[in-house]
Amino acid sequence: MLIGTLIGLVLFGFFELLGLDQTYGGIIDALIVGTLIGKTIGKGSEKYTFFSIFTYNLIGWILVFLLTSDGKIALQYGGIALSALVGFLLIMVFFYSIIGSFAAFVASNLSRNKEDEGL
Amino acid sequence: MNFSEIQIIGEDETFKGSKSKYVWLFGGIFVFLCFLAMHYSTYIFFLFPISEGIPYSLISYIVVLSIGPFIILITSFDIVSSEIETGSVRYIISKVHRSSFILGKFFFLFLVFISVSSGIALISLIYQYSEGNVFQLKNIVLLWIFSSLYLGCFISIFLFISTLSVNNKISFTMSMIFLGILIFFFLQGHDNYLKYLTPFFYGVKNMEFMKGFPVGAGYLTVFESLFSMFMYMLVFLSMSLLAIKWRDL
Repeated sequence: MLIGTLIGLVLFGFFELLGLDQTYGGIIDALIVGTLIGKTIGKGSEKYTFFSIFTYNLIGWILVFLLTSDGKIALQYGGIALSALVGFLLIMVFFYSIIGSFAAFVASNLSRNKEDEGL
Repeated sequence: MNFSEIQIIGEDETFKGSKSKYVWLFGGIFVFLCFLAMHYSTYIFFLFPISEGIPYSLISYIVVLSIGPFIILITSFDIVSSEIETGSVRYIISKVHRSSFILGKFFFLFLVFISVSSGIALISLIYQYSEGNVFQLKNIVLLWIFSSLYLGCFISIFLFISTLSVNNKISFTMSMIFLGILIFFFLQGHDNYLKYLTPFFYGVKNMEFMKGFPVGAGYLTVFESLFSMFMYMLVFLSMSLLAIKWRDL
């Protein structure tokens, strides 16, 4: 889960740096992290993926708000617009987490059964 | 894969399977809902030009587009997962090939929903004829083909999820989640490329053909739509076959 969060954060930063559309970036990031966690943990990896993606997105957005000039302007302005923005971001993050969980579910069930290989 | 095995599984599901009655019941409810929509569409006649009359094929197609995915979800989420949960899949795959098992299940559901689409198209045709509208057989045939393919896309999606799940509960939850993801992708807007990942986009794109059959270069658009929906269905069906091949049952 920790490794998933770290990889997610790195990819989050990478997509942010590339200037890729947030929706595409978030979904690709969630799919990669979901597949990796699903392959690593196997069965029951969905909830870990969900929390991992939720965590790295939250950390990523907090860093964006605190460290970028646009984020600072938004924080200084405050008001209803900021609440709406945060609400929208939370909904998007929730959706990314669900997409990641689904990717983990598919990856964990599609991977070949390791116990069978020795037989 | 063996055609006789697929046929045996399909026939067994259609005539002897405990789920068959349940699927036919929901198919019947679906046809009835379309009938109700067409019946009560006379109240909204003012929305359509008087010269053309009420476009019954368009109304029934909209019902298929909106309710179809949910009906398919209810009928097909446990098609494979219930066999995995009860362990009966082990007895079946010891007799038939794994891919034949999946294809048999798919063709059972697909045939049921082709019949449902035929029912809807027939009711639409009768309504159109009784109202004295212009007899548009081409539109009805397109409605039948597009509805069947659209429903087929969802059958292959939920069959794939059902194949991956260990029990019905997980299968239902994951099917709901995936449907939510598809709706989320579709709602991202017309400029977003994510729309190509959803069957909704292909379904909605075909709505224009329900108003009138395209002429000239329009034939190519119809073919393109048919091909893209068929490919979508094929991708998920291949993934289901891959999943059942790799799975530990």
